[in-house]
Amino acid sequence: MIGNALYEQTPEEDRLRIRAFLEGDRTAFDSIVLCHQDSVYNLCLRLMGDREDAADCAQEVFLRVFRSLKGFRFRSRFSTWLYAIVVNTCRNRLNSAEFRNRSRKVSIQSFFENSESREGHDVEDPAPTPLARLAQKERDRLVQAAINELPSEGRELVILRDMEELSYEEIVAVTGYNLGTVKSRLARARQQLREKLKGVM
Amino acid sequence: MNCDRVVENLSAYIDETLDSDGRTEVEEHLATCERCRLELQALRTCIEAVHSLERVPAPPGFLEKIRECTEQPSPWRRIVETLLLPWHVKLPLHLAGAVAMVFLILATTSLTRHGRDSLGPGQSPVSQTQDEVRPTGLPSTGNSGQEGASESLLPAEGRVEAESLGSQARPFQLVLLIPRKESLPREISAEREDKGASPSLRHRGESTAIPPLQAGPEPLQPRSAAPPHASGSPLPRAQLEKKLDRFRDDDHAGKFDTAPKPQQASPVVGVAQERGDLSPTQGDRGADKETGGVDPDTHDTLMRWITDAGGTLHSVDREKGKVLPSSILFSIPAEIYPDLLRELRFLGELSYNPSSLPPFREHGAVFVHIAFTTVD
Repeated sequence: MIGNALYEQTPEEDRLRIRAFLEGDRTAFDSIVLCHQDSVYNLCLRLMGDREDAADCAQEVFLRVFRSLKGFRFRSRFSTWLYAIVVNTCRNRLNSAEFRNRSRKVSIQSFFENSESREGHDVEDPAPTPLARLAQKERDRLVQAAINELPSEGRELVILRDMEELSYEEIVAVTGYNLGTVKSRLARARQQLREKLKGVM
Repeated sequence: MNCDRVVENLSAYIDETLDSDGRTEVEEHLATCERCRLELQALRTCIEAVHSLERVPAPPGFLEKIRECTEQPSPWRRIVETLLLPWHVKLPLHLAGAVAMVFLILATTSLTRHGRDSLGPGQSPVSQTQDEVRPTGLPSTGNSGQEGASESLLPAEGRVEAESLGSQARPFQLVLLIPRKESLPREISAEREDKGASPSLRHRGESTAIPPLQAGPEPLQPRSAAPPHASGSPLPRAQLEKKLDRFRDDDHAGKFDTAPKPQQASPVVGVAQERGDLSPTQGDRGADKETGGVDPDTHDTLMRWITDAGGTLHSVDREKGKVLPSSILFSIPAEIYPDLLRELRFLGELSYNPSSLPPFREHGAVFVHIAFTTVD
């Protein structure tokens, strides 16, 4: 079962929007962006571990989509194709020399602290009490920090499988790894994550 | 099936991708092995934690940004078209881009050189950064006990607003060890007992692993009991100065000479001690100018501060051929941490990236990684 927002879009809806865009309807592309922007941004955020990088990557993803949508042949689901672009974009960014070499200058307030103070980043939280909400944020912070320490392929697999709930076959299509590699690397990545979160969770 | 094999298969077991035989074997083993059952439970907890990560929506104005980018031609194309239009020249875009890049590199190189040349003899690049790097507020040191302090003074609760230092900035990694209670690395204890022996300051072309922590016999003094500016620093000042002189000497790049050198007191630290205040004030800056800038003594000053604050220097790593270190490993009492932030900002730029290097606990100590950017 696919529980993520991307896969809730029916292929037919995507198909109609894409066809309209290819026929010259510029607003159809806006519609595609609006439908997928949150999912794409959230996936970028979890893969990159930083809001600013996530926003850059998400923007690059949609620019790539804009440029290459003409070549989309409807042989796969649009969402799978979009996921593959997200993963590739983030992978390229993570592997870039610039990203690896730079000393990240992060405001303490930037990512984990008190997102309420960041205009426009408020998120509805079903947590019943402020304390529970705080605990959830702290847990998210620790989990994200542990994910960030995983090798990039392990990070991709854990997020695609455990956060986005993609099937193994979909992960193969998105990442380009073969099925055996996905299974073994996912198992290893989960073990690494479990080690990193030992004593925390 | 033994435990190792079962643990390897737990991920597939959770995803229900094992064949029926494999599944049966795992279940039979789990029925008899509590350790593997706990392992399975822990793995499920981790997966659930990833699954329940908050869904963060795209920032406001995201669509508008995409529109801007998709409606306008690329900046390169616009620049080239603007440049070439008056002459009615047609060039392939990639060739024009390459030409433009050459101009850009030349211009950047020229500007960088000009910037470096324009520094006066009494103006060090680090002095410049004093004005560029501004504190935006710090966690208060408070009077809490040392045990609680290491919790409450994690940098996640600090306020460090770092700003770019430009192309001259050169980052190196600074690793803090913040011991809690009596837990001290073995090296600290050994170093304190062996005051006259060769220092444990390591100097090599590879990164140093954080030394294993063991409960040391000598507890860290609370700040109230051993103020940082008091003469009774846990590590003898003379010993540290000896280390600093060697570290500073360029001739010793790549290897470390244990021969003692003449000592020089740092005027910067001296002024601060007389005032009993280590804050980076105008007075300190004046002292820097009198001594020709703080840049040559940046690391000296940093390490003096460490020992003055009751901390201990463990190691300095430097890549071969580089003057500045790639990392400095030291410990300070947790409650000194806010002061450290304040003091190091004076020397350069501090940044904290919990996403790539999160703080972690080990043997009762809290480790925090701080990136410190100074000027080459």
